[in-house]
Amino acid sequence: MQIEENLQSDKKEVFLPGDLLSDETGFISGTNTYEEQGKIFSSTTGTINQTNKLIMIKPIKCSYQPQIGEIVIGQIVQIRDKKWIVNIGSSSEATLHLNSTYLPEQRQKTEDDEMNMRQIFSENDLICAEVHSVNNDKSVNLHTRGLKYGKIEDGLLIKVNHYLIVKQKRHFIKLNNNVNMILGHNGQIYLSNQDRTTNNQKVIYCQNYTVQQRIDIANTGKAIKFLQQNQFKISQTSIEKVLNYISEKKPQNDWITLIEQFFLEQKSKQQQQDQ
Amino acid sequence: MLSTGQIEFIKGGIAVNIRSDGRKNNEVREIKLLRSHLICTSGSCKYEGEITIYTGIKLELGDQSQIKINVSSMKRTNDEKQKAQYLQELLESLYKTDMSELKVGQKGWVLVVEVFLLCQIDIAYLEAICTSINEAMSDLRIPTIKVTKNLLTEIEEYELLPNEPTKSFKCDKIYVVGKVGTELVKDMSFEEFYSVDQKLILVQGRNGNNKLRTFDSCGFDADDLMRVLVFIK
Repeated sequence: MQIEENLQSDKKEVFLPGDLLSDETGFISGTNTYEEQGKIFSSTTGTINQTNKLIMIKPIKCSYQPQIGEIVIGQIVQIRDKKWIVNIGSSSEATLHLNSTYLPEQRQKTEDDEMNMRQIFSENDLICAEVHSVNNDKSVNLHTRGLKYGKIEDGLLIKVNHYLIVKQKRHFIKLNNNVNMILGHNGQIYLSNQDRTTNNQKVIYCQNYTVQQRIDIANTGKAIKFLQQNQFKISQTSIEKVLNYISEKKPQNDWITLIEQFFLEQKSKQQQQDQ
Repeated sequence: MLSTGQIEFIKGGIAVNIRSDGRKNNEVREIKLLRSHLICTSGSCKYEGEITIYTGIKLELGDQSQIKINVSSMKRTNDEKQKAQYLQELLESLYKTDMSELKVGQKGWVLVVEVFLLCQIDIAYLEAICTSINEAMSDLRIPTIKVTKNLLTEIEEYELLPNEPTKSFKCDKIYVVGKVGTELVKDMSFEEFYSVDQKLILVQGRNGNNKLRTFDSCGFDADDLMRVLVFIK
């Protein structure tokens, strides 16, 4: 679906790996291209993107490519000397150095901290971090300086395609139904009742879930999954739109049919706008 | 692997009867079962849910009537092959039934059940595999065979009558109502259909006789149990 939409929106010719892009001299090969005997060829499937003499290929579907300043949710895979290896869903591995973590009342990291790294983050822990820098070999350095970032306690993790997530001003969001959401740029969304939106508090409180909170989180999760299935962009407004529509109709039995109706209405609106 | 926070969230949800996707504890996911999906089999089923499973039953005449189950998946690694082997043994031990209805003269029908998963093999899919096999079994059509005995040579001759299929054979239906080694609810009871003492419970219904089976009465040896445990890990 996404591929078709991309193609329809661009309306450009698709190049396969090995296809000739240009055989004239004077052109520069950009990303996702390679040069052989003065000719430029494509190295991935995608559409051509030319700026002056620079030829690039915009891939149709790709793994997550982190950029500086983006917020990601990842899982600790390994602990090495003074650093953690984190899986953030990109093609190359991400590392979190001990010096770029946050400890209360501190200061420079000592040898004791190095010995007790598992007390900060252990294997399989989920963390929220910011991309600090991207190296030349595309490996990523993360940091968790600040109270917003760090280990994520109990909650619901939903994985969606990363290209559906809209870049926004804020990625730590409190929805209308009091569900706190971390919208990771890498396509991982975390729903919980921990408030990370304010900077004033010193400690993030972990509260027990009430039944209503669990129902709200489940409904939000369902809405996100349906947004992904119908290839709609995921943002605070789109999620709240779906939830408002559901709460207005107040369904007792059939959640799924109501959501499908909502998407059909949205699609018909879009088509009318296009015409 | 899930993190400890995610596991606690799931456990807490089950304790108050709300799972993380909004279902109650005794609600199942929506599944779609298509019978007679594969044309060149005697009985088949396509299972569509969170995963897709194709099940087909092939009939052969052998010396003894029996059920053979072959499990395969998309992934082709040594680890996956070992898992498939363990799962086959597990399923064959579950579907051990009285085969007297399948006898044809001195020979018997061999039901070769082929299960193909469009994902990696996992013990969590045991319930899905069992339902798809149950459905394929109820779709099974066995052709009638005319047996004539030569009185002089005492050799049996078999004549296939493909236009007269029978549905006389009913296999056991296996329902997995608990999972191996997973503690779902703290105070568990039979009414809630959950695993008791971390054992697998299976409901077997044939000719109206329902039974509850646990690991002890499944015919598993200690070795089999060890294999299951290794398989889960």
